[in-house]
Amino acid sequence: MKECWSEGELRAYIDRELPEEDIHRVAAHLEECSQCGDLWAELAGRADRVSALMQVLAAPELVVGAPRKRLPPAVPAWRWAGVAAALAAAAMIGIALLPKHAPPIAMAPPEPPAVVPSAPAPTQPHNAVTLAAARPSKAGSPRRNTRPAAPGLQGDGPFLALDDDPIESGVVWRVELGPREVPAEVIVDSDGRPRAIRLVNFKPNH
Amino acid sequence: MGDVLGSVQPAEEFALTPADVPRGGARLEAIFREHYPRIVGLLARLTGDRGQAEEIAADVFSKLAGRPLLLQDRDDCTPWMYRVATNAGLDAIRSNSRRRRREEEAQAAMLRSGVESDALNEMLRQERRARVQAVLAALKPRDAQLLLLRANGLAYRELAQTLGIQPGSVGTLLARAEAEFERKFRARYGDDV
Repeated sequence: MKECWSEGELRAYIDRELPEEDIHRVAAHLEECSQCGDLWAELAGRADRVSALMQVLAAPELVVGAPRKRLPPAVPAWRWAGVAAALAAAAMIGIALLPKHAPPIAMAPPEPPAVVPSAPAPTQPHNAVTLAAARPSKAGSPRRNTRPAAPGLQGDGPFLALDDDPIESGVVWRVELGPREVPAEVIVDSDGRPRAIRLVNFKPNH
Repeated sequence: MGDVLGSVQPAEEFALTPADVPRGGARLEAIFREHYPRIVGLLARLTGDRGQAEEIAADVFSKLAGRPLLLQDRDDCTPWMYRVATNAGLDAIRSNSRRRRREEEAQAAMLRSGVESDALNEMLRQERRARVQAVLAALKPRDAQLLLLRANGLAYRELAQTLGIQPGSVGTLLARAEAEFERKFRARYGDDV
C-alpha cells in the first residue's frame, strides 16, 4: 500500500493522466492525508493560474491545418472539362432551338438564380472572377461588369450555373465546343469542377 | 478544347511526392503533415503572430530537410523539431519586444486622445500577453515547451513523445515548470498572477 504520492503523480492526478485505478487510490488517499491534500491544493491552484495565463496567448485565428495532401482527382480535370463541354453543347443546341428573339437569360433556370460575374477587384488577375448570385428579383437584369472586360473575358450573356451550389470564386477557361469549335467560357472552381458556362459570341442562326 | 485563360494550381499540386523528391522526401512529408499544424499553433501562441509562426515553422522544416540523418530516426527528429521551433519562437519574442514597445506607445497616445474606447482593454490584454511571453522567454526552453504544448492540449503521452522524455516524468516536469513560471512571473510583476 502506497503511503504518499509524489508531486509528479499528484500533478498527473490533477490532469486525470494517471491510470484509472490510481486515480481512485489517490482520491482515497487525499481524504486521509492532509500533507498530500495540501500539496494537491497547491499544485492544482498553480496549475489553474498558469493555465489561465497561458490562455492569454491564445488567439482566435490560431487553428491551422497542414496543406491538404495531394489527392488523386476522382475525375481528371480534363474529364470535367469534357462534361462541361457536353453540357455546353446541350445548352447550345437548346439555344439554337429557341426563337431568335428569345434572350439568353431564358436559359437560366429560375431556381437557383443565374450566376453572373461581379466586377473583379483591382488586385485580382484578369482571368479570376468573383461570382455573386443574382437576387431573384433581379434575375431578369443581372448585374453587369461595369469595368471594361479584360481581353478574352468578353462574353455575351450571363453564365449558366451548372449546379445549385453557390460559387465563391473560380477561374475562367476558354474552351471550344464540338466540331464547329464554338467558343465558350467555363468557370472552374478550385476543385477543378466546372460550375458555370456561357457561350462567347455565339450566334444561333449561323 | 482551346485556350486556357487561367489555370488551376492549388497548393497541393506542389506537395512533395515520392516520385519527385529524393529519398527521405516521403518521410519528411509525413512528419510535416503530422507536426506542422501543431508547431505553428505552438509558435502562434508563443509569438502572437500567425504569419511569423508559419515562417518559423517553414524554416524548421527546411532545416530538417537538410538533415537526412536526423530524418531517419523519427524519435530523434521530433524533439529536435520542437526544440528548434521553440527556441526560434523565443528568439522572435525577444526581437519583437522593440516593435511591441512602439505599438504600446502608439496605443497609449491613442488612449490619451480618447479616440478609442475599447483600446484600454486591448492594451491591457496585450500587456498581459507580453508579460507571459517575457516569462516564457526567461524559462528553460524545455519548461517553456512543456507549458506551451500542454496549453495546446497535448496529453502526457504526447508530451513525452514530442519532447523525448519519459512518460512517468511528465507530471514532475510539468509541476516544476509551472512553479518556475509562477516564481518568475511574481518576481517580475508582483502578485498579479
